[in-house]
Amino acid sequence: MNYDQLSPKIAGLKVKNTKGEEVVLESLWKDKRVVVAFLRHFG
Amino acid sequence: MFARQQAAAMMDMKNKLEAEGVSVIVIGSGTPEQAKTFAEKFSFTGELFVDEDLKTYQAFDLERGFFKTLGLLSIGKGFKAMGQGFHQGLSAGDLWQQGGIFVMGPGNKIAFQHVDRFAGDHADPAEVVQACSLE
Repeated sequence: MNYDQLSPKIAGLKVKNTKGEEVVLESLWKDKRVVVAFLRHFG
Repeated sequence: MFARQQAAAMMDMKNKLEAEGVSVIVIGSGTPEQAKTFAEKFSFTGELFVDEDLKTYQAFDLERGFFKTLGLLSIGKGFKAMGQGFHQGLSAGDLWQQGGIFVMGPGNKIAFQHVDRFAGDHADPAEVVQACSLE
């Protein structure tokens, strides 16, 4: 998968932080390199 | 047990990458409260987010299914993790959803991608760390 394929699928998607506040997914790596790990579940 | 094992691996990765200005972000399928409990329980100090609708999981083409969680390969990996001292706690989130790991950015870049094919099928942390420093 390249970014062009991913981009339309994540456009506008948001995740919530631990305070319940919504954050735009793509903003997480807009200006920096990040490791994004998707966990199966907490526990 | 895999989530606990992964939390330990994420903390190790975070410690290695922080000096290079790379953040480690974890996205889980539970509630914000469950994420907070997870962070406290496993002393995870990275950035933590939740996606209860699993929309981001779907966008990244992550796997989901009963047999992917409880298939023979997963059970084998489970015994290995137990041997390393990781045990299954009470789970919070979608049990059938599989995970994955990606190195993203800055901007429109995917520097590394790994989709877990079954429970316990994690990426090699050394490969992830290496991908972070490559341009």
